[in-house]
Amino acid sequence: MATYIIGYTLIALVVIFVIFVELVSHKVIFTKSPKIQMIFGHPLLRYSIRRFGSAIISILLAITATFFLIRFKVDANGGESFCSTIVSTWDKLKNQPAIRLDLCNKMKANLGLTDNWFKDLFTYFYNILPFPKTICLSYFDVDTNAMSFSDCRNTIMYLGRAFFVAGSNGEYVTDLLFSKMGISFQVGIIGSLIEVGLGYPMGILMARHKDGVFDRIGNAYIISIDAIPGVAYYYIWMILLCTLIGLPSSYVSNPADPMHFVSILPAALTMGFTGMAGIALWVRRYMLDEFNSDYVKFARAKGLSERRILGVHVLRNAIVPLVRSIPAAILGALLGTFFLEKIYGIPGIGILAYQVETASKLDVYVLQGIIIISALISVVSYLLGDIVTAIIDPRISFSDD
Amino acid sequence: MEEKKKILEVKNLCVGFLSHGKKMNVIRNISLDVYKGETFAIVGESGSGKSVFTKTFTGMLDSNGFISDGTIMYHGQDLAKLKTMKDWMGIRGRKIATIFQDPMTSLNPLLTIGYQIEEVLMVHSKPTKEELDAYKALSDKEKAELSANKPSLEELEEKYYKQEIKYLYEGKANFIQKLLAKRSAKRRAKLTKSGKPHGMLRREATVEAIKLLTKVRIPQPAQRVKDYPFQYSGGMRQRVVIAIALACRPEILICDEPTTALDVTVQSQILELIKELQREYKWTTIFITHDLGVVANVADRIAVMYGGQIVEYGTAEDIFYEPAHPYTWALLSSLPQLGTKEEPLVYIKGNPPAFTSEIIGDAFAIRNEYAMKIDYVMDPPMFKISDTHYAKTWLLDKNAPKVKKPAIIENLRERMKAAAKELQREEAVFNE
Amino acid sequence: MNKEETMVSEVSEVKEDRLYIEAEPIYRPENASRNNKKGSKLKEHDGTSLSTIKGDKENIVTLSHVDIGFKLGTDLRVVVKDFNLAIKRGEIFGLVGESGSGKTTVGRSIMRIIPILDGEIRYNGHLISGNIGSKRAKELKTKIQMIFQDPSASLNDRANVDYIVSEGLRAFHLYKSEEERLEKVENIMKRVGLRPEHLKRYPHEFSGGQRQRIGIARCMVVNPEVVIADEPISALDVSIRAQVLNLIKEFQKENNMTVIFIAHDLSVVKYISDRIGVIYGGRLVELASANRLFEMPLHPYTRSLLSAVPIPDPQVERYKKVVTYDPMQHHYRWDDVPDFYEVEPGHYVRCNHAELKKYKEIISKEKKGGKK
Repeated sequence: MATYIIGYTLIALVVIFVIFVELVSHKVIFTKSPKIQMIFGHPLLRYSIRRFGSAIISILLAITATFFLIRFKVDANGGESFCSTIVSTWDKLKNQPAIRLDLCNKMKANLGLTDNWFKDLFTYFYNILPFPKTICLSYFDVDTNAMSFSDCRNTIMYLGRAFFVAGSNGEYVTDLLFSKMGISFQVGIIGSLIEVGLGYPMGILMARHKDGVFDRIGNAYIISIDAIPGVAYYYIWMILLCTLIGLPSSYVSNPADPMHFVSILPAALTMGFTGMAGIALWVRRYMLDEFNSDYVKFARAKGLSERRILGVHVLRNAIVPLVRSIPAAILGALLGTFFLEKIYGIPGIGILAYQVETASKLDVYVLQGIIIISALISVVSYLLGDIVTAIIDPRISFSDD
Repeated sequence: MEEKKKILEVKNLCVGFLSHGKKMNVIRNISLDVYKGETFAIVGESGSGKSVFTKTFTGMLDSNGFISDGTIMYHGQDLAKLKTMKDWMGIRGRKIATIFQDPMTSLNPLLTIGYQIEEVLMVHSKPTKEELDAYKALSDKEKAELSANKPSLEELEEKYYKQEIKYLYEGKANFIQKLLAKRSAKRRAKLTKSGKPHGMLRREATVEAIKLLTKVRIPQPAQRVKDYPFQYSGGMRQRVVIAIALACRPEILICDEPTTALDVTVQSQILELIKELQREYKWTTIFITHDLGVVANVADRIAVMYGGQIVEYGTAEDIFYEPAHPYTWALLSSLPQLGTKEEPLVYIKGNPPAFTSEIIGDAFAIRNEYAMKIDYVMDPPMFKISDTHYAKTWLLDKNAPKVKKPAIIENLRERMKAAAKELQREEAVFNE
Repeated sequence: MNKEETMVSEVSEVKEDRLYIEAEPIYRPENASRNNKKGSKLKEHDGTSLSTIKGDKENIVTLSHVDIGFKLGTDLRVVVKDFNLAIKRGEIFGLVGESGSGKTTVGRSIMRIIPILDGEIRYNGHLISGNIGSKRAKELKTKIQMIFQDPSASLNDRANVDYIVSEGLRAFHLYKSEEERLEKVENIMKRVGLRPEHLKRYPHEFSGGQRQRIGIARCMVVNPEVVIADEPISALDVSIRAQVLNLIKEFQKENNMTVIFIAHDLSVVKYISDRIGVIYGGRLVELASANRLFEMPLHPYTRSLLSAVPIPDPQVERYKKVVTYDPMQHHYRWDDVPDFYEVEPGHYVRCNHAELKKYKEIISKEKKGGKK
């Protein structure tokens, strides 16, 4: 019940907000109140809403496309090859085609697959579109030939269930993804913070003392990161961090264990140290551009101190083109990186995607779920990037006129 | 004529640049005096070293440039000896300010006009260490005396409050704005009353910035302080740049081609503004340009630069009416204002010297149609023509043949007077 | 007369507080009418070359009722409004105005760099604006060439001078053999005062004046009939300006070219042009022969431009008064709207009837004064 109340209230609020913003910005209501015009009629707000709206549509299109692609795979060869992968006794029941087909159909029903693609598509859309609904599913255990369980859940977004991915048995895809994302995010966010926290100062110092000792060392580091292939580099860091320093080289899954946090560190540090090279490279480059600009010369002529010029003028302007990528870096941390997770045995979302793709049994909804989540994340992070850039760069205007 | 006070004395200044391991002498032995309160113009083609020359006054040479010889005396201090940023901090922007050529790029695009002016005001008003120490050394009694000399707290508060309402909100403030103004007025009054040396507060600086924008005639300054440079036209931006220079309250203002990037109409307005503000603030202007026509308006004295040297200097009248150096002749006669339809315009053939190899003799000799044999061998000394007028050409030597100036600048004065009269007459007709 | 009556009745409904109302202009270059719009454009294709002169013999480029604007989001900002101009064959026409007045926009619209919204542009009587087909557009590019303001920005940094100069020749296949191309390029280099060995160098190795001369060489090598020079000397030192001006003038005389010279400085234009048009706010405000414009500038904007030209004389300059122009000073009323009138033969001014009367008086007075 609570899900329904909260869900519909949220939807109503969003709809009212969007309508209000559109009306204000089209100067239909509150035409005489400059304050409300300024806040709700802000071009940036309208731009974000429209951008988000169009992004949702493109995500839906992408989902439709992948849905059909997966269904092609499922129904290829009259569905036999797919049946043979999901029914474990398929080969044994060679002589009883009717039974094994029945089993296969029951298994498909578990997954929510029928013969009608379009019906399935609409069911899927109904399930994923964010409004409250009750989802009930009975699971027929093929091996024991009995209804194993049947449960219901009030949910806002239902991404289906996972059956085959290691350790999951009828688990909700949303739960699965969120738990995996949580793990990936822990690593990713620490990694991103190290990236930004070390990359920016490094770039600034390199630009500040151009051609100095630090600049040379930094450049050497950046070039070496660029030159060595990523995987090799990860292993080099692993040796440095785990073998030489003695950090744990495998993931401790129990969050209560004090070693849990420490076991994340090697992966996060590896990610941070690698990523910071790219950031430092660009910060240095943009800073040097700004240092040579006329307004910096004028700022010097005004009698400002070098420290002030660096902090207030150069840094701010150099960061403008870089800020766009920060939301993407933070949100991208949710999706994890496959190599790092594999090397350090972290059961994150990168590994999950890998498992789904390589598993003998195709877990349709997990795959779809990963696609939806990563699409949403990239859309939101680009939108945030645009908004952040617009906030710090006054020259960018989203207005129509 | 009363003795004018020298504000800047340049003696035998030489500036070199290191480029690809080679040393180039870009400024070659310049001696020059600038007097207090005058407008001194330096004219020359690009590549003559005029910008480099003035950059030495504020220590803003590019990193590969250095002063190899000579002195620049300013209030008994040799600017040529200053090396570190710290040494320059007291001079650059505070005593000697610069306006650059391109107003489009001189302002930081991401900061408001207001902030860029306020920044200067706040930074420059910050008390120095000595001032703070002096205050700390005062006894409590002296401190109390200091604050007793000030008007009462209420009076100050009232004054500041009125000022903020007047400038920040143009006299019309709503409830919240009044509250903000009251709070800030209280803070300012307390600080002032205490007598402790302190820098300008942000809102105080904004008030000052608005006053300055009014000075440079930007309409509706209270609203425009919040604007960004891209919302201004070129002429307006140059006005803002001038406002920033005003905020520095310099003794010397160096204008490095301030109007080259602007339209003629805007150019005349900006020149007028600089002249007017100079009268009010009584600074000394050093004006750099490649266009002799422009400086006729503003300059009291003019120096013509060529090949890293000053080849002629004198009062504006000397340079325009009695030019003595062939290079000045050439510069004058290439002005399109003097051209007539029937003949091709005069121009200076060739390029200015590149400084890559050492210049022997007169640098201008190869482009000079009046060049004599000696010009290729020996650098001419500065010949004195009158008390104010000097030129560096062998033509002034007593053994030199008498040479006539080009016809186009021969009776410049009469022609220009006639032209001016014509303009005046026309205006009179229209204003009838 | 009839027209004006209808106009008055139309405007009288408009609110009183609008002082300034635009009306249908009376001045029109021959050979153009506003009705001849979009629908009839395609009929203009008659397959003849652009060089054959159709109709009007005197004018080479005519702009009639040209509107040019830019789209900013959903907003259309019209920069040039109802622009009429006829450029005579073989003249140097100076177009003067401040930045933002639309002078560059007009030049570019002739080059078809900026599309026009309304009206038509003709070349030798052939329509060259709007949809004229790619073949004709290409042909036009060999006839009209442009010299740009900033010599450092308009030359490709990574290409050597040889490539830059012969680009036009290559694009329009104006040579038969490699030797012929080289000969043409070397000749043009000599003509602009550069040496043939400069061909192997890159733009950054040249000074500003030399770069502008390369720009001129690039433009002249295809032997165009019309050259649009868009502030070619604003970025140059005064001492070099004259050289570039002389060069343009020489080329014009030699090949009997037509030059449209765009500038913001009247003193420069005076020397080089035969006729001068002054543009303000996207409209021509005065048009006269160069001498006449300087002798008898009528429009207040022209006078303010003239007064802004610095005079190389310190004493005169110190007491000179700069005239400022404010468009509101006209006090145009709805019953006497400004238009482009011929005040004396060949001298047009944008004014209303009251001003026209005043201007005519001034001119007749001046003529009497001259007779004395």
